[in-house]
Amino acid sequence: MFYVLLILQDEKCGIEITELVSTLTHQRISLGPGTLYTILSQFEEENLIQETKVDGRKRYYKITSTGYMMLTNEYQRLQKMIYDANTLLPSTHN
Amino acid sequence: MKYQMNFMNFKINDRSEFETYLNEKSKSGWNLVFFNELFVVLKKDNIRKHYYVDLNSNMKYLAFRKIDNDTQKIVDFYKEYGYDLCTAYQYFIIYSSNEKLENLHTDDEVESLLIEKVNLQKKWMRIIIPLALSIISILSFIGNYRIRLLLYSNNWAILLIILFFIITICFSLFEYYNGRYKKISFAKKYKKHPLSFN
Repeated sequence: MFYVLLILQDEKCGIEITELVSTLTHQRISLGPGTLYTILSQFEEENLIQETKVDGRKRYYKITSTGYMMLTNEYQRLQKMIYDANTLLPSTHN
Repeated sequence: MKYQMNFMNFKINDRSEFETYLNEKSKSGWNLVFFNELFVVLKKDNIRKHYYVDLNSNMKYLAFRKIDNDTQKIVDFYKEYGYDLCTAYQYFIIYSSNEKLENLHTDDEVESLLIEKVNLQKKWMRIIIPLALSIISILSFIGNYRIRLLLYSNNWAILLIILFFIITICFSLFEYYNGRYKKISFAKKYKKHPLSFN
């Protein structure tokens, strides 16, 4: 999920990720713990993020270089899509 | 203290139905004590709880039904959000809270990925466990002197073992295909890159 990788450019724990995603998207996206845990464990398996520290029950994660590369690629892909949409949907500028 | 035992069997795809059932029961004061493949035991304590049913994709937990470090990691993660572990059995982990919290799974696509992962592990369990049992039983038959003697002198004993082995394999295959076709169709549909979710 794009937003999770975007937020994990800084070290964050689960609940912080949920709060930041919610704030960043103006409550458009809310992440339950089940959803977030599945995403984080999958990202960890694919070496996109890594666990950095454990503080009591809280586990902190941060993006890896592979994850960062994927994030920038995705950002470029989205930019191209927006560019394409702008050329075909000029009315969106008004 | 009043107890109630309901004969119910919730399958992996019935996660949300199980959650609804527990929450409805809790509204009338009946709370979960434990559950297994056959029944659900509830206790009348008139405390209103909110239940959240989650799936555990941990292979070791599915096999030995014991909360190990990996499962504990998940339990701790949910604790951060205010969910307390209530009970667990096989692929279901039940969390409860005294207040209504956000749903565990807020994205259907991610949930389907989890279901797919659990189903995949269950598929292997269906093959590995009966196969291991067959091998152990055959080895114990052959390892025993008297049984070995019986095998050499009686053809029916060999036939019996072969029959047992065939039944076990057939049962495993039946379980494998049964589980495979029960799997919800959308679980496969969303098998794509994680970044494509949002």
